Order: sequence, then structure tokens, then C-alpha cells
Amino acid sequence: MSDDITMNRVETIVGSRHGLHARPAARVVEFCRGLDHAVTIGREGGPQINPKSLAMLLALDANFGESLVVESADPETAARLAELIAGELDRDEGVEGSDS
Amino acid sequence: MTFTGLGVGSSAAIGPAVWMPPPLPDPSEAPSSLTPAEELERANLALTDVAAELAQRASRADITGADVLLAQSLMARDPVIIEGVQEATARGLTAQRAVHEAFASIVSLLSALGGTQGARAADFADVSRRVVARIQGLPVPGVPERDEPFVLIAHDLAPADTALLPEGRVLAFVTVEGSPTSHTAILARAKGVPCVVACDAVVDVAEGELVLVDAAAGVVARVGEDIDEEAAARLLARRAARREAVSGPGRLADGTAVPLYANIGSLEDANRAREAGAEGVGLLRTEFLYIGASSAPTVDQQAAEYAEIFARFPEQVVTARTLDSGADKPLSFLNLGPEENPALGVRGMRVGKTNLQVLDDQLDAIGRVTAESSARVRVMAPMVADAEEAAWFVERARAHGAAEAGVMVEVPACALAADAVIDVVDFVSIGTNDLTQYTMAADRQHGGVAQYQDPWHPSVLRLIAMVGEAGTRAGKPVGVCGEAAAEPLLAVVLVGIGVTSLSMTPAALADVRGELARWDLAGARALAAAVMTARGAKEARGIATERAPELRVAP
Repeated sequence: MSDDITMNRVETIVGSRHGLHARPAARVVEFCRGLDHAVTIGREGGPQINPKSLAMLLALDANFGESLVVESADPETAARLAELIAGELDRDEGVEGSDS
Repeated sequence: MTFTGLGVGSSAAIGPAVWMPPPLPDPSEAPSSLTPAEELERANLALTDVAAELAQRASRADITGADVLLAQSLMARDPVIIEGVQEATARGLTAQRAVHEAFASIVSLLSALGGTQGARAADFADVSRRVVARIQGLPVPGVPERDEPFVLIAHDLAPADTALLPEGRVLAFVTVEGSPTSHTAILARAKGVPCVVACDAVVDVAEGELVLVDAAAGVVARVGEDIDEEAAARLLARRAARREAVSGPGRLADGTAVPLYANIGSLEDANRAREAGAEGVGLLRTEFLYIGASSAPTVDQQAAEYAEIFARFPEQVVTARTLDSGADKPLSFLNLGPEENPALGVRGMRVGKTNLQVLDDQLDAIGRVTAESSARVRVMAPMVADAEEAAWFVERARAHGAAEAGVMVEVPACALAADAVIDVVDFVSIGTNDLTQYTMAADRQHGGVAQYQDPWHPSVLRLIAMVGEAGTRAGKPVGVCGEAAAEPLLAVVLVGIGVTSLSMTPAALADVRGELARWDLAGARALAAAVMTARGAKEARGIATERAPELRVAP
């Protein structure tokens, strides 16, 4: 990311009980691949990674309740990804009782 | 003619033979004769094809399988992989070598993290193999994909081959090599499917031929050629009937009760254990509460999870093992760090001793639920070294409300001090996998010394016998909850050396229950005595197989 673009930073907390692993991570990747703007994610003060990469997201090893920082030149993109991560991504939509 | 080998289990199955394709060698590092751009295109084409194929298969798989396939499809399109391939082809490598290297770096990164990431590393490795095979126009290595269930025949199977085995698709396993303790046999027992190993003549069976696999007799036969269809169907029915004939609690033919418990690690396992007729839980692995957690779960959270599992076993024994972690099975919040010799390091209860709050919270949660639960809750610590440590743990557990507290005997030092250990506990449970690893000085994780990891070894059995004798003298229960308990004939030997209960994967209960019913206590003791004279594990197994027919009281 070039420094002359104003980056929008949004803090978020991992809302998936099993962390950003397995299914929640895959959902984040799918969501990010559909975005028009570049976006990164990481820990406060740590390296920012490309959330379109499942490998990097898994290596980030973000657990339930951890705070993360989302950055994008586009404010809405940053806000939407932050909201997604704060949600319960390991819960099935429409299928009950198999979130473990 | 038929093909004979060593049978694992007592069931039988019929299905089409499917051969496991041979593993591909790692692609060569030799420079390509094509241009980097041409190699990059070959790689990208294969990556796109494999991604599309995986996504397409995900759309018709059941829910659990679909998740993995979809994630794998994302792996084939991962920007970091694509960058890695670009960089490697630019260095003049072939497309297949570039893909291999790009995936290998991710696989080692994730493996190093362990836990759930370690499992995802296997998924990345699998995608890598698919793409590399696709580039070279070779069949995809790994377990073959078929729409219909099949009999899997292989030279030998490694854990990596079977990590992604489709649930319910494999009717039986047959391997040319291997032994009853090899990975394939353990897997077959866990899944409850028939298996024949060390069946070298099976190489004559062709792909697609209908075969009968009879684990009870250790025989593979081609249906329509070696055995007619009707006879095969009759045999299948007879095997099924014999398994069903023995039900209810575990006991010997003379009425000696040998409670058969289940090893479980989740609520799902608990349900499976009940279906398989387990008389309780001999080992509840509590790691499921911690895996993937960045901080230890609270006492309330833990208590709620325990209560739910305990409630599945009213009036029955449920044995919760406190957190069993270490550098070889790390949990992120404990920050254990790497160790030179993880199996000999801060592991099992040693972790609890250095993270007292984690241990106390867990004992507190279990203790709190114990009083209210309809189950007979017991708690035990893993990897205890001697009676001093055992006493330390038992006192602590009782102070937190444990009704019955015990320890696992996995360290030879603990077995050698059996009388002193038994004296301070309510019960012991022998973990034969670790006891074997430590007795034989052979790392369980090290494939090169896998042949030492055999609980039939008379030295391992002698240690177990010391614990059995101490238990008998004190009138306290001695259980076994390792792999050994799931092997029917070895289970008989264990009973013969003073083991009072056996705990195993739910799928193995039927076979063990059936085998125990064919013995009386005198016979089990005679078998154990004969086995103890062996000079090694292989000879011990041979003696048991040879003497069993005459010592059994029922055929």
C-alpha cells in the first residue's frame, strides 16, 4: 500500500467461535474475492495480510475474541469486512444445530 | 484360489476392487526447456482446472465434505500460491516443480502451527498433488474417487493417504504389505470396516473385479471365480449374524465382567459410543474445549460442555482426562514453544503443573458438574511419572470436588512403581500407545521406527502385568484405553494379566465384545502366559494366533 493514499482503518473482533479457521476463513476469502477494492487484515502493529489468500488467513491464526485491524483505501470496503469478521461465520445459515 | 493375509476385525464385505494409484515422485528440479511464460501458463491452466473440478464436486458432496472441497478449491486459486508459482517459473523451473514448491512452503508454514492449521496443511498438500498430476497428465494420486462404495486395495497406506478418506465410501481395506498394527489396520478398526493386511498375492486382483473381503478368516476372494455369488452372500450373512449374536455388557464366557468403555473426544463421539453399546467412557479427551481457543475457556463454559456429555451416560462411568497437550500437540494459548524432544518434554500433566490456573479451572469445572450429574464421573491426569505426582494430582482433584480420581499409566517409571501409585489413587488407566513409545524408546511420530510401536511386545505386556497385579492386590480397577484394547486377541491377553476394563474407539467394541465371549479367565491367563515367553512383538502375536483355537472355550 502506498503511503499517499489515505487508508481507512477499522478495528474488529473475531466473532466466530472457532476463530478464523476452516469455514469462517473460507467465507472471508470468498467475500474478499468479490470486492472491487484492495483490503488487508492483521493484528494491531503486526503485518497486514491479503485476505484473498486462504493460506495467509490460516497462517494469521486469529482466534475467537481477538481484535484485528482491517485496512482499505475504500471506507465502505473496510467497514463491510470488519462487520463480516465480527459476525458468527461458523454458524450455518438456515441449517440448525451443527455449528461445532 | 483365494488370497490369504492377516485379518483385522471379524466382519466381511463385498465390493468392486479399486487399486490405490502409486504415489508420484516429487517433480524434478531440472531446468525447463520451455520459456517461463509457457511454464506459467501450463501451471495456471492446471490450477484453474483443479479449482473448477473441486468446486464442482463440492456442489454434489454432503455438507461436511463440501466444506473441505470448497476450501480446497480456494487453495488452488490462492494468490500467494499463484505468486509463488510465478516466482519459481521465472527461475526457469518446470510448471510441476513450481507448483510443488509454492505449495510446499505453505504446507510447512501451516504444519508448524499445528492444531486445525495442521489439518489444513494436509488439504493444501492434497491440492498440490492434484495440480502436479494434472500438469503431467497423470492419474491423481491418493485415495481414488468413485461414486459407488468400493474395496480399497493398496501396497500400503500412509496417514496422509487416508486423511481425506471419504466417509462411508470404503467397504474394506486390503494391503499387500503392512501388519495388524500398521496405520491401515488402526484406521479400519476405528471405522469398523473389514481389513486384510500382509496379503501379498492380492496383486493378482484386477481393478474393478468384485471381491469378498473376510477379515475373520483373513481371506480375499474374487466373487464368481474363487467363490460363487451365493456362497459369498451366505458368508456375509453368517459374519453379520455372529457380530449381532453377542451384545450387552462385556464379559467372558465364565461370566467374568469386563466393562467395555468408549474413547471419545466430542459430543458426536458420545452419541456414537451409545449406539455401539459402550458401558461408559474410559477416556474423555478434553482437548476439544481448547483447540482453536486463544485463551482458556472459563469454568462456566467448560462446566456446560461437560454437563452435556456426562448427561449422555446416566448411571455409567465417564472418565475425563485433564488437558493433554505438549510441544507435539500444541494449543495456541499455552505458548509452549518448540522442544527438541517433545515426547520427553513438558507434556501431559507436566503442562498442568506449569499452568496451574488452567488445571485448577478444569478440575473446578469437572468437580462442579460431578455432584449434579447422573453419570459416575471420574477424573484422571495424563503422563504421570510416579506416586508422588499421582498423590499431588489426586489431592488436588479431590479438593476441587472429584468423586473418584486416578492417573494414566504411560510412563514406564509409573508402571514400575505400580503398588505405590495404586495406593494413592482410586483407579488407573493404562495408555498403551505412550507406554509402548516410552518402553521401546521409539518416537510415535517417527515413521522410521514405526515397527517398534507394537503393544504386543512382551516388555510392554510385562509392565502392564505389574500394574494389573498391583490393582488386583489393592482391589482397585485397572483399565486400558490405548490402541491395544481395540485389538480383540490382545484384549484377551490384557484381561489375562489383570486388566479389569477396556476402553476403545466405539467402532471396535463389537469385535472385542465377541472375542471376549469366547474365553474364560483361565484360558485368558494361559494365553497371556504363553505370549509372555516371546522374544519380541512379532513372535508374541504369532504365539497368540497359534494357541487361540485350542484355548478358546467357544469356537
